[in-house]
Amino acid sequence: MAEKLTFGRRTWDREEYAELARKRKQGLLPTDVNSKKLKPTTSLDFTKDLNKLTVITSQVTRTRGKAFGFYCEVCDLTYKDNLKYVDHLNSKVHFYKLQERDGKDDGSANKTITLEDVKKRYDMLCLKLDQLQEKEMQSSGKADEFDVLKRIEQKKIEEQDKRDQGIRRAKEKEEKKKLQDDSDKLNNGLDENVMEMMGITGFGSTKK
Amino acid sequence: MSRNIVFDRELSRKTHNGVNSMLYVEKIVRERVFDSIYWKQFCFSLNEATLLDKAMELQIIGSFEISGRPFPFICLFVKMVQLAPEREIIEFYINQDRFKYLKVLGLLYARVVYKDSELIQEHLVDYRKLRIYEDGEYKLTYVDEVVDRLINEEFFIGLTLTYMAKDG
Ligand SMILES: [Zn+2]
Repeated sequence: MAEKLTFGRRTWDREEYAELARKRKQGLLPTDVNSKKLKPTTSLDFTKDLNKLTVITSQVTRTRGKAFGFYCEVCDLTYKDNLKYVDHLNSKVHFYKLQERDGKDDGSANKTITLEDVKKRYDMLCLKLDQLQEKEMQSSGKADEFDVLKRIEQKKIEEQDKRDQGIRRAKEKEEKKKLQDDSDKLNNGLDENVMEMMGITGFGSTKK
Repeated sequence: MSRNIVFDRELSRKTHNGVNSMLYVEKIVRERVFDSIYWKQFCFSLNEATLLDKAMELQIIGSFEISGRPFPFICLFVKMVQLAPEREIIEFYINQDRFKYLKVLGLLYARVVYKDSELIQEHLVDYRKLRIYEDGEYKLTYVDEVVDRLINEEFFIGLTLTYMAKDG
């Protein structure tokens, strides 16, 4: 550790630093910067902290170290809004830090893209898309949907069912109506008899 | 990250006939695209090959919403102009048949940068449907209609199409 003298000049404990250097050489100390993995900008998820409330106190758009907000692991900075964050990820500072961390350019970045590269990518994407569509179709059982004969068959069955149900319902209705009529007649007859017996023939007027 | 992409807002490193390729897009369009989150998040580090990833996701042709937010279509177009790919790559974009919006991107590029009506004309026989956003409305159009407009009209989705010699 360094010690500060009253004069303001610092002296160094050489032994301690030598020890640290020895350990690092043997790989005992983790060079922790290298162990961190870079996230490509395309996989950013701005909504992962959605509905979490955090208090942002000042106008400062970035802070050193890990804090609430969007954190850049390479540069150890935290940004308060995603636009500033993504600006930073695209910035020179970040780019050079990244190169420093990952070792020098592997040359792939500077390569000019040829037609072959484009074609390869195209074939790869086509294949991926095909697989995706196939999987989707299987999982949702939509494979049947494109079999026309099967669909016609299914439709026929459905329609037959509907017709049967309609007929049945109509029949039920008729029967119900009949029953109702019968009981109405019976009721009416009964009522008249009772009323006659009680000497009442109608409401509204007592005159005869 | 390619060296061909210039940090900040400088122009592209590539030229066509001595004109910096970025000048093929009007300044106002460039600025609005560069300011958008879609550009910053997805387009910034694309190259000619990875551009396909984004182009296959396109669902609609359009430049800017009423709010000023750019559509991915115009962002990718600006990216193409910035990258200024080899002509054979643009021709590959145009002649592939799987992704129709990529084809339209290529056609628009051929119209704006190469001003090659012959290259575009060949695709008057493609009748596939396309979605387009224009004058604040979502509309239906077809590839051949777009090709016709690229050949005969002066404006397309708010972009000015400069003079092109027509044969016949
Ligand atoms: Zn960073």
